[in-house]
Amino acid sequence: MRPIANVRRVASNLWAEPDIARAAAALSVFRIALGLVVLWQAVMTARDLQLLVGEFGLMQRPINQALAPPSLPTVAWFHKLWDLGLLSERHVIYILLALYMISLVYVIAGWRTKIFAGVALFLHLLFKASGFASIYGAHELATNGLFFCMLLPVSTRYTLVRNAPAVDAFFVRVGRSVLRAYLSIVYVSSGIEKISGPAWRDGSAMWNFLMRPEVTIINFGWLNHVPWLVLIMGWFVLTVEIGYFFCLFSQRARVAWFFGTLLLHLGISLTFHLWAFSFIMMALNCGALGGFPMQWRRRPAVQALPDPSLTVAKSS
Amino acid sequence: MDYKMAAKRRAVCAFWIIHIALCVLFVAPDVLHTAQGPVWRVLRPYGVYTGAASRYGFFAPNVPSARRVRVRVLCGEKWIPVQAPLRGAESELRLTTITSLLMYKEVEESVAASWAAYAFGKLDCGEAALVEVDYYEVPPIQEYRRGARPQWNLLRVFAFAPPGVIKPGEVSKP
Repeated sequence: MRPIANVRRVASNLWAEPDIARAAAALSVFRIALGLVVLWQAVMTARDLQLLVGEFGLMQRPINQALAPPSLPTVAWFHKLWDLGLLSERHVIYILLALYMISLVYVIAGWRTKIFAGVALFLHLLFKASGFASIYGAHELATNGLFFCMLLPVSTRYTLVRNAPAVDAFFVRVGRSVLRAYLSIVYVSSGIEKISGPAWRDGSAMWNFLMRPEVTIINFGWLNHVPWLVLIMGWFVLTVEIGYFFCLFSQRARVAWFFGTLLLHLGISLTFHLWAFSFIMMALNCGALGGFPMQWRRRPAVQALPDPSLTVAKSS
Repeated sequence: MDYKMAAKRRAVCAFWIIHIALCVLFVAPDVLHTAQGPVWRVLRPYGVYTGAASRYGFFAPNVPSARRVRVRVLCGEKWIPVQAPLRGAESELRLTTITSLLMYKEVEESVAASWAAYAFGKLDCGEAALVEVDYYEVPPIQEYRRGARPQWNLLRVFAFAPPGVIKPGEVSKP
């Protein structure tokens, strides 16, 4: 019976939430942070949107369409509007962008989150498919993030709604578990693929990463004098990624991994300037692992029984 | 707890278990699922719409070398460089993704042709366009210590002409 009890105890750790109110708040922080990053990304590409998703942009429409999954919506769905001369393609793109931004603002505000997250997800997919040749990891993560906002209880806190829905501990636990499971898939699959080749194990991948031309913060050439540091950094990445799943079994390890992933993504954003990607990952981690108690309750000490000899001495 | 709530909870749990299982299946090696299989043809749109079909091999198993594209258009006797007028770091990042597509044999010519078409659109006088692809070679750490430094090297050159002049195609390969 003991092994079964141990498995039960370990499994219950996965589900455990020391403070359900904080867990609900963490999910709300995830919603706000994700919404802000996706909105910022939309604003930052707004001026160049026609070049990225337009029919005669940098990558012409047939290329984007050939690369994108055929079932996704695209700007070309609305081609009748400019074929009939009602609106230009540019107008359609910017009207859709405005709708996308408005729906993201409502997601951030937490007002009818499920509906607006659904609208934002649809428009996000539309812009993603229309400019498929230029999308990167941040777009994939945002797709998942908006889908989670659509179905998970992410607007129980920090909303502009007067009567926010009451916190249901069960659904908050489910929400956190889903985010944790999803992030485990992201990190562990990436970690396994990394460790399968020699480049990350011997540090050469880390060296190649830091020496790429996009890394402009400083010249990391000095690392050639301390190759062991490159090796450590490579193994830090592997440990954070592959160990992510295992950290979920211990509440204290979750806190360590929360800060580990923050460090990893801060490093990526500072060196590689993958700001949107890094901040979406941080937002997801806030939802999955954030909201931990700042002070850990000590285990109740076994109460010392009064020394019977002393009692006897006193009474005598 | 009433019966309805219990049923709702069970349904929610079942949905998420299936969703997470699909996420795992989608990141699993291709051996485990064939894109042409009838089941996957049904599951794929769900995965694409929800993000479950995403794969996450960030910089794995190795960090690829950076690519750079230089586009020049021949106007009269002058080669005029054409650059994408992108404003902002996020747009530049997306340009990097486009450039990285030049690593893949299946799409490299189409991507280069699209660059050339864009350049011809910018310059009406264009008689020919050259799309030059460079890669950034980073020496191994030991060679760096011996004095080698990272540098841009020419990888491929694609030449294009507007329709009616000559047929597009690759002209040189260093």
